Order: sequence, then structure tokens, then C-alpha cells
Amino acid sequence: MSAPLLRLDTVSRAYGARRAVDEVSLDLHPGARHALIGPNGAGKSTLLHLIAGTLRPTSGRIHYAGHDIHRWPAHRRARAGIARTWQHPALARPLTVAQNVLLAVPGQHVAALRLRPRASAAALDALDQVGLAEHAQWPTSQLSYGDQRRLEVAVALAAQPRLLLLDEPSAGLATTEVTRLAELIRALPTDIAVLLVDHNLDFVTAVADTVTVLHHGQHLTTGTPSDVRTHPDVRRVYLAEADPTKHVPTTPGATDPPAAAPPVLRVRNLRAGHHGAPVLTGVTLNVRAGRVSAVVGRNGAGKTTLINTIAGLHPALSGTEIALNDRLMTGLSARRRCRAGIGLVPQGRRLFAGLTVAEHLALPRPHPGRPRTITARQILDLFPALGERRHHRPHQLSGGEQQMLALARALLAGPQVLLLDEPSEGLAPAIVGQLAAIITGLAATGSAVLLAEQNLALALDIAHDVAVLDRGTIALHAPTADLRADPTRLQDVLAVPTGSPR
Amino acid sequence: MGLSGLVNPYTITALDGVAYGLLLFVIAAGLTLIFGVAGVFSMAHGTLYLAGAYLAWHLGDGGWAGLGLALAAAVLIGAVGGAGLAAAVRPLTERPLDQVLATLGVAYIAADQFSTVFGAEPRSVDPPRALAGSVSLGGYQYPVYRLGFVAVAALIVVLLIWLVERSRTGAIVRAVVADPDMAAATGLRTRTTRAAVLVGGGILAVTAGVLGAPVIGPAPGVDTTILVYSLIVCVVGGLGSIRGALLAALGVGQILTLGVALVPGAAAFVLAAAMLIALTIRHRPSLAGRPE
Repeated sequence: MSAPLLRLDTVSRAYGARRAVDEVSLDLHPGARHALIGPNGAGKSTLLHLIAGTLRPTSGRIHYAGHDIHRWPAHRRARAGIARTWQHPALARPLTVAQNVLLAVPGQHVAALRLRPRASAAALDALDQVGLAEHAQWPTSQLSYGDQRRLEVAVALAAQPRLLLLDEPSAGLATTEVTRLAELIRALPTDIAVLLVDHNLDFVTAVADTVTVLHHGQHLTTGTPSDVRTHPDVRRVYLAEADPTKHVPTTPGATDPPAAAPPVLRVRNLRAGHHGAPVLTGVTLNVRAGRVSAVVGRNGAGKTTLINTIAGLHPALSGTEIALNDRLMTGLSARRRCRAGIGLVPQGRRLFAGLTVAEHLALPRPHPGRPRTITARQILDLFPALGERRHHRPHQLSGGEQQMLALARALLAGPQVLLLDEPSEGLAPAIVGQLAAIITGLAATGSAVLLAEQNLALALDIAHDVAVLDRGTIALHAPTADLRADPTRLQDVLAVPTGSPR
Repeated sequence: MGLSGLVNPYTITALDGVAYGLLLFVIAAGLTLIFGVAGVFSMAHGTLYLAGAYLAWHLGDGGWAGLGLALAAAVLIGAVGGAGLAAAVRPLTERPLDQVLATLGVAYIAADQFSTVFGAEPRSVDPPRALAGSVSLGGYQYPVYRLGFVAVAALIVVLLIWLVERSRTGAIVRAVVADPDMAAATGLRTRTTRAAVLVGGGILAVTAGVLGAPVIGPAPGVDTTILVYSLIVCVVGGLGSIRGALLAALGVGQILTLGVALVPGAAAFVLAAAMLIALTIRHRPSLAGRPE
């Protein structure tokens, strides 16, 4: 076998005590189509940055085409043939499509007054490769989001790279656009090696010959797409898949309160996007008092966008209707929604850096019009660990304590519906058990809970009904009991695609 | 030895430095909070100090009544000035360069108006007669007013630190600094908090002008000097950090007094070098206690 074009040798990148990339080794040969997958925070983007030179490794070596490049600055690596695209299109918007590509064509003089014909030809050639040649003279800002992503690939190709790094190229693209992008990448010249990061597993399967799975910065496994799909560890970490045999159906959540009560939170046709790319295209769901409703879905399905849009932290697109007890919330600020009774426990907890536990608990005040459902004293009874840590600041708390504090902060405002975004993220199983008991207890006392979870086991354990978010809408919504009885239904919508063309 | 050994020209100068540093702190504390909470780069902050100093000159009559009247007017003008600034930069949210230009424009217009109304020559402001004399400190004469100023400024420091770090009001302010979106989702009034900080900062700066007028008197150009020194204090202390501002202000005060006395001619260089060192070794840009 030929020598690898790119070799990562126990590369690490630390942020303080946390290792975003932890001793990852990887070989990439010319012509490779290699994908990096893994849950959020696995270190995929960081690894791309380390190869592109926008970040330097804290330890380890990076060999590229026979050179040790781990100390090279990004521009030197770019000149050596490493081209990349970004998670969100990084294009010069005032310029035309062709001008954007021209910027990347090598061998031009900065001071040259006139374009070399060879350069324009190279630019047009790159545009032709991605199918944008007819839009060459358009202003970049008028391209659709999908075309902007293709233009980014053209810009990268114009640099005549030997190694192409693509950061979530399929994010925000419609299904047909994803298919075209996959064809484009497969059709690239065979001397170019491609390393891409993506959450869309259909896309990864269609494009990659080799897949590497990262988890918490560490290399989990590398293999063909089908090998990786069936790898038990991958199924566990990437989808946090429920093991139906392990399920204990005797949790308090299983007792079913009446589903006929009018919904506390009513969401109709919720639409939202990121940077002009649609993420949610019409989500409709109800959350009722005394019930836990879970929203599950793959990484990047839009669970956090859904939660944040309901809480008022992310703008909703027109047509969206969010109502709390028949009072319309759409258009209200996050503060007004909180005062009206929407409580948020966000992803990553978002505690206030520098504020002590006691200060966190002093901040929320319920709306005077509503009876205070819970006092600071009751909160400390509910979360005894916080009582001993009143003078500690968030960074001095364990992950479990941080999650309890985030939950306490939301509860003190006396919410009528509680939005929980990935509460089990980064928590040890025992703590997740405690958390499950607390959430179930809250629902039992009449709270309405909307839970967005990656951890399917937890969702199935405590939720009364489960909605699956896929491709911007609710693909399946059913009572948990039905799903437990027939686990294959969930697997069909959620699981890693089987790859065999159906 | 004893007290007399401790008192020499350098310690007297250092005492001046403390007074200067505390004065800078009272001004810069407002600026650092305005930046940290409201995200506003206010270039009109020195102007507020100068307004206070002219207020002291205009209303001062050598008695307590004049000082009291000037202080009352300072609170009013500071509040109006802060609220006006908040209203002026409201349309410029998230556009820091435009905020700089807008507030700089306000500062220029105000400077021009000050020269027209109060004249271009420096005005000296006498302290109230009761504090006009000097006391003997180990053989050296020291102005009573300056000692009184140190005491009052120290009181303001304690109150301010208590307000920001111990009270619920301060917790709200710091929560808005740390994560404005999450603060709103917790039910806090982020916009009111921002406006309140601008008003509070305005009151502090104008009050500092009234109290500091006998130390740094009103004259054209004082607004710029004060603005530059308070910006240095804010940047070195860490934007949004009260304790950082206090340390930085005391340091800058010493460099501008003791530094000038010890190495005249090199003090400006020392100030710049101290700034560089502080910025280089401090790798956490703003709030204490923020996790990595």
C-alpha cells in the first residue's frame, strides 16, 4: 500500500483540563473518502481545525505528504494543498460567485491588474465541477443556502487541493441537495483525499469508504460504514440507544394520567432555521399537565432549536404558533415567556459564571399573579446536595450538581411547563437515575414537562409519550407504552440507516 | 523611627497616588460595568466627569451647602446623562464601532459647549472651607480635603463592591453579564438592567467630578485625559470586573504620581509597560470565576 497522505500520530488538543481531542491516530491515503462521526462535543470539528492549522495540537504529530506539519500555520498548510470548508458557509458576500472562487486560485499576483486567463479558466472549471457554472456572475448573497455550500466546495477545489476537509457539508441541505452533494464528492478526482465531518448518516454512508467514530475526543473505532453501523459501542454512544431487554417498566412514569386534559403547551407548525437554512419545518405537539412528553432524534435533528424556539431564545419563522394555556406566546420575549410560565433547563445548563449557588437561587421570582409553586427551602429539600454548596460557583460543582442547579433555577420561577434540553448529557448513570426520579416526581405533582433527549433509554423510562424529530418535523408520535411493546417502530425512524438500498 | 520613618516624600506622593487611584476607580467602575453589562463603549464618560467638575466650580461657595447642592445636581445630571446615553445607543445595539462614534460625537459636542459656557481657561475649585487647610503628617503638610476624599472614595468602593458582589441587584447585573439570553429566560429584565447600569455609571462619574474637582480641576481636555485613564483601568482590570478595576486604578494612580516622582520622563513608558504585562499574563479576559 502507498504511504499515507495524512497521518495523525496520537494528536491531542486540550482546553484547560478538558481534552477535546484525546490521542487520536488516523491514516488517510490519496483518494480516500473518509468520514468522522460522533455525538456533539466528540471533537470532530476540533480535529478538522487541527489538520487545517486553525488550531495547534497540544501534543502529537501531524504528517502530511512526508512533512511534519503540526507547527505550520494555516496558510502554509493551505498552500501545501489542504483545503477546507466551514460549518457555516464562509464566503465573501459582496463578490460574485466567480470572484469568490478566483480568490482561491493559486499562482496569482496580488498586485496584478488583470486576471490571467488561466486563472479564470481554473475558476470556471471548479464551478463546473459543482454545477454552478451558469451562476458564475451572480452575487453570492443571492445563492440559495444549498448553492452556497456547493460554492464553498468549489472555492476549496479551486485551490487544487490534495486533501479536502469538509465540516458538516450536508447541514441545512434538503434531501435532494444532499444527494447531489454526495454525487459531487464521489465524483471528485481520485487523487484528492476527502475527510468530512457530518451528522447525516445517510449522507456519510453514501459518500465514505471509511468511517471513524469519535467519542469524548477519543477514537472509538474505524471501519467501513457497515462495520461501524453494527459496532455495539457505536450504537450505544452515537444514538444512546435503548436496550429494550434492560427496560424496567415499573417506574412511576409508567402510570398513565389521563391524556384527555387540555394541553398546557400547544405548539403548531413551528418553523425555525439557522443562517437561512431551515432546521424545523412545521413541528406540532402538545404537552399536558402531569405528563412528560419526550422529543428524541438524531444529532442535529433540531431538538435544541425546538426547545430554544419555544423558550423564546431562537427566532421562530412566520406561521409558528406557540400557546401556553391558550395564551399566545409567539412574539413575546424570553423574559415574558418565563413570567408566563415557561421554564427552561437549557442544553449545557448555562449557569451564570461567577454567581454562587445561593445567588442563582435568589434570581428567579415567579410572576405575582401566580401562586408560587415552590420556595427556595423546598428546592433545597428536593436537591439536598445544593444546600451544602450554597457558596460554590458553577465551575466548582460536579456535572450532576450543575444540572440540579439549572433545574432548581427553572423551578423557582414557578413554571407551568418545564422544557428540559438533554438533562442527562455528561452525567453518570447513577445521577441520571436520580434525575429521572426527580422529573417523574415533578410530573406527578402536576407539572407539564417537555424533554428533549439523546438518551433514548431515559426518554422511554420517564416519558408518557415520545415524539421523534426527523428532517425538521415530527416523524412519529406515540404513547411510550406502544413503543415499548414494539421497539422496532422507533428503530425504523431513529436507527443508523441499514445502508442496503431500499 | 515609627511614624516619622514611614513618612517621607515618597510615601506622601504615594498617598496622592491612592487619592488619584480611588478617583479613577469611582469613574472607571461605572465604565467597566457599562461595558460589561450593557455592552456599550461609552466615549462620553470623561465628559460626565468634566460636567461634575464644572458643576462643583459653578455651585461651590466654599461651604457645605454648595457642595451638597452640587452633589444633588450631580445625581440628577448623572441620571439624565446616563439615561440619555442609554436612549442614544439603543438603536446601535450590537454595533460597537457605531456606539464609539456616537458617544465620541456626544463628547465633542459637550466639550465645545463647556468651552463656550465656562471659558477655555482652567478653573480651580476650592474645597469647602472646613476642609480647606492642611494637616501635618510626620512633618509634612498634607491637604485635609485630599484625606477626606480618600475616606469618602474608600466608602464608595466598599459600597460598590458590596452592591455588585453581595446584593441580589449585583447578582442580577452579573447574571446579565454572564449570559443575557439565559438571564431573560430566567425572568430577569435585561433591558432595564442595562439602562440602570448606564444611569448608575453616569451618577458615579458626575459625582466623582464634583468630589474630585479640587484634585483634578475642570479645564478643557480633562474629559479626554480622564477617559483615557479610565479606559486603561477598565482594560487592565478586565472589562466588567469591579475588583480588577480597583486594583488597576490603584496601580495607575501610583504610576501617575509615585512613578512620575521616581522616574520622571519614564512614567508614561512604565504605564504602557504595566498595561502590556497585565494584559499578557492575564489570560482570562473578563469575569473572575468563569470556568475554562
